[in-house]
Amino acid sequence: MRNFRAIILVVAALVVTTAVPGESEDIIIEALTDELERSMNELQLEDAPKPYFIGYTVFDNTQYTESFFVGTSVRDDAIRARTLRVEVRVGSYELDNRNYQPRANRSSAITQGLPFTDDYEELRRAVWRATDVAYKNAIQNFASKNTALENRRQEDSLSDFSVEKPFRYTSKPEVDFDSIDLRMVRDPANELSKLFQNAPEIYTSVVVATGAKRRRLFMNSEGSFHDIYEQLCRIRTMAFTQADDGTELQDYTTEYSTDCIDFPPVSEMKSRVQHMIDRLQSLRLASPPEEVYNGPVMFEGQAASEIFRRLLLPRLLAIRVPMTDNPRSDSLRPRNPFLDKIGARVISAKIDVVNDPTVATFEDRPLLGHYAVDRQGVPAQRTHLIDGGRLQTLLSTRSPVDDFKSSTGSSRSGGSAIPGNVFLIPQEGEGLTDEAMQSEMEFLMQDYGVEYGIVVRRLANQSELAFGNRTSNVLEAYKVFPDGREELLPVIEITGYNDRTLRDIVAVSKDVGRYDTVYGYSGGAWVTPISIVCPSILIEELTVRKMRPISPKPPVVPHPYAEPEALSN
Amino acid sequence: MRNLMRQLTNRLPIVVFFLGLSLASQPVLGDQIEAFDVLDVMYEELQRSFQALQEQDQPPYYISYEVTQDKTLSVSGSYGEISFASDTSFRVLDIDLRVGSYDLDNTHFGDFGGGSTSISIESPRAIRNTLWYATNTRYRNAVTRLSNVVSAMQSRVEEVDKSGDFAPAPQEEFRAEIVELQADKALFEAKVKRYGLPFKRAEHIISNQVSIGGDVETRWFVNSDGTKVQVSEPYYRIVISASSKAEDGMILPRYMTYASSTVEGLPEDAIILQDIENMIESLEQLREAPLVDPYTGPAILSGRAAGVFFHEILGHRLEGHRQKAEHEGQTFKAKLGEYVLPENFSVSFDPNMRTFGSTELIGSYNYDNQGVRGQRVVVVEDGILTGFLMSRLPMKGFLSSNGHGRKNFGLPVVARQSNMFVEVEDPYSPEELQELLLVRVREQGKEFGLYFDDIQGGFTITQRTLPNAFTVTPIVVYRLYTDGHKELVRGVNLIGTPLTTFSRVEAGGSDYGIFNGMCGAESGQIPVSAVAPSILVSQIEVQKATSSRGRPPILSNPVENSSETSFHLPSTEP
Repeated sequence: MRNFRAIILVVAALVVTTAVPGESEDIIIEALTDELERSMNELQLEDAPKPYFIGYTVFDNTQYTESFFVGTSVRDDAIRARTLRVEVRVGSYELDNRNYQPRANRSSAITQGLPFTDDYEELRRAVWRATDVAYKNAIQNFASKNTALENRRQEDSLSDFSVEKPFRYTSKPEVDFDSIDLRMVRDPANELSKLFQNAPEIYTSVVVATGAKRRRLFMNSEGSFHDIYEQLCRIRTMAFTQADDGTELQDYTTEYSTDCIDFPPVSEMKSRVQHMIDRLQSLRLASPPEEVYNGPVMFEGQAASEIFRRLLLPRLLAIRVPMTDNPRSDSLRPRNPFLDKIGARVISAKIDVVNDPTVATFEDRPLLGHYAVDRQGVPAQRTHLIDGGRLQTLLSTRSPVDDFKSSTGSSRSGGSAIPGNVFLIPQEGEGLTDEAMQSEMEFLMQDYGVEYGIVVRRLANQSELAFGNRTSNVLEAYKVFPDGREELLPVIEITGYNDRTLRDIVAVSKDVGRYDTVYGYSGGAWVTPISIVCPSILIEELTVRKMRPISPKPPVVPHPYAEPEALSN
Repeated sequence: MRNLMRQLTNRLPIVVFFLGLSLASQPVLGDQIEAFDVLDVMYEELQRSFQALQEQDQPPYYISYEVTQDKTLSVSGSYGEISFASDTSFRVLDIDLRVGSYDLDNTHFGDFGGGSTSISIESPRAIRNTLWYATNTRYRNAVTRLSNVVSAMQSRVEEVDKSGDFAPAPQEEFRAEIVELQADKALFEAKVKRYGLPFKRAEHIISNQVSIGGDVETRWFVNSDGTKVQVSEPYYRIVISASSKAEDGMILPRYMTYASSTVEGLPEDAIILQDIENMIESLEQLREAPLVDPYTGPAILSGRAAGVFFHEILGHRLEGHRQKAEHEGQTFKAKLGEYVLPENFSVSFDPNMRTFGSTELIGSYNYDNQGVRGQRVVVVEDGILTGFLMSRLPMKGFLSSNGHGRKNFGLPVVARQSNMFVEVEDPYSPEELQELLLVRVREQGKEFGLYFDDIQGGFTITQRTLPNAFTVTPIVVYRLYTDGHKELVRGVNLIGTPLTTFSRVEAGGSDYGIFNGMCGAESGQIPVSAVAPSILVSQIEVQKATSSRGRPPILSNPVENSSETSFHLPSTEP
């Protein structure tokens, strides 16, 4: 971990030069441009409105995935697909066909396959067909949305689409994009998998290597354009076992790379996996605490980031919920409480929160949440979300929500606002050294009359657990005694924390750590990667107790390689 | 609802492959370098677990392991351009673990399986480790399940069919050559381009897709009876679909499939291209064809249409488990020994028949998914119902499997169809059959009869909670008028109930048609074939098909159609 404030200034300075406007003309751009122009000028059904907006996005995805088990391959997939997403809007920026979910399954933003070959005629034909379908859906949705609005009391006149300045951006890959061999991700993954050959105490495991590259080409009728090449590669190692009492234990490690080459050294990744194996083996034998603990809990490193990812990040997004034909069901849908908390204190006053996708690297490694322009063609921007614990604004897209009427360039996937790089920054003078954090903990231990404090170093992101969710989400936690001694805690659960807990942070560290993860569901071909950089935090009081899951008993038959005679195989 | 004969699946690739003899696996990535036999490793681990579990209060009386390896390559596209490609291989493990006894076990109210588990076959360690842990999980579930079964039985009235839950089967040992899938992706891409180009020149085609796929499924099966079976079945398929739209908005689809166990067995390009031209032409004719009103009267089903007709209406109702399950209609259970068809009709299933004439039958296999050799089963002999398709689930009067226990990985086995053969003694020539149709038309005072030339598929309902009915969805249907002329029509589905419809099957022709397709039911999608003659049904019923009313595209096609596009066609011939 390094001092945060010094680093953030350096990387921010580096990023300014990365966006170079301009684009090269190629067949696919030509076909999209020509059909966009024709459709904007001529596409109209009798007595129906013309489109006021058309947007095209082409995704050219190539993905390779291979799974390994004890040094052998289990499954491999290589897929290439090129798709076109067409969004058509009729009406006006104030009122159009979007932000509406009709009863009929009829979307005015449709996705269809596109030929691989850059053949002008075939691309034109595909774009023409898709635009036609999207336009017809758009005028039907616009008509039924107007009917639905007539049948409900009008509460406000929230616009459907924000007006944004056109933005043009092109990034070209430094290497021949087609020649990148995604299969290079398999060898290090298999090396990690081999570590389980000598770990019969680990009942099962899987190492999944994924390499993906993508070109994203975007243009809209407002003049925005971007053409981006990107890669994301990942090696995820997951392991499962049971303690003697049946308690299920699992853990995982995840390594990311933005070019499939620049993974950490294999020795470093192996060390992390071996550490996980060792920890699981220790946990099998550890006795769970019988007592319930009420006292201070420190979240360090990944655990601190995961707390914020889970409790804070979803609240920082202004997401427009589409209206339906049923006003009653619309009124019952949950509302993000942060929409009504601008200016209010939402977390500890010791912390600022900034979302900054323009920052490309941290500690010499690429940040996963870095991007130049979002899915709606709006440039990424630094957004100061929380200042001294008080909420300043939310991340938004071009779909206005309440007072959040313009985009922060945060439309990343599925039309929703999603964070990029989230920096949780200790307020000036509030960050403590490790020693000072420990002193704070000891003070609270005395105050609460407990013999030890608890430090949590890893928390599970539930979407990354491979073997069900009957296990605790606390992956690595320790008892910490006043003399500095640490003792690994068996499976525990921490209860009583929620988004209000973040206001009860009593101390934050000066040093920060980074956490690369995914936001939302991660089972798809492309996840939305984010990075969180944050300090360790100390919570004054939480309840920690023995996990009481309903677990099946351990296997009746011993592991095949736990028996000497079987080792000959 | 029993699903259907689905003729098509998208994204089925083509591949060039070679056959190779490989009884042993060579580890690729593991540390072991010695060859080993997958079946032997599986069997050894099975015995170890089986013996160890005998010491439990509720020991298993049967365990089987089935590892399925699927290797596929697929390429698809439209208008002569590629838009999707995938190359996949995976291996999964299915376990059938039974506690209790052959008479009553944990599967009594249905084998709820437990899904598949990913497995590697590249080292004994990987195989044994996965088998070991998955067996443990299945054992726990089976014991719990048996306890529930026993409790439930105590509160129910005595069952009518006391044939038990599992039938003994002979020990088998069989090792087929493992077929390798060699992926010549460039060849398949060239074919997808070549077959898609003709659609460019057809203004009336609103969508089209060409998919070429290769799939080799290799299965290793062992059980506690000592059976060891290794089978490897390749499929290569070309699926071509296109649709047009009538002026009234009705979407008109056409499909064509070609299947073979070898790439060489697929038709040559010239034949397929001619079929595509015919498809394009027939879609143009269909746009102009009149809509059909609901109709009852006589009809002829071509051989292919009759194959689907028999598959849906008869075949699914002869699957053994449907005679036993109390929620099933059991349509033909009480008809055993009685006439269900005219006495010159016989129906059999035979998975051992690899071809009919020069056409390969994709419903062929050596062993089913329970390690039982596929057997020929005569289900209708001289019009009389004589048997059923059986898995290892027994039923009253049929206490052993005839090798029709089939499934996709991850799903429980049930009795399924293989290659169906409908045979007719003293058949009519096609001309005679048509003349007989017109006789019936006149007798019934109708203006015309119907001729079902090609069908898309169909579905049928066999359970009691819904009407026991079927629907067959034709694509090409003609009216045959008494003066001998015929007229293409569109927009009809063939509907009915099984016993009534079967009682009206009157005659069969000498012209046989073959249907190769994918059949979906509770145990997944499996390849099946049906060989049948054209048949005359004295009275059928048709209803209007569903239709859309969407307008044609608003703007004109931005690309002027030109035959010049064919000049840069890549050749796919060797």
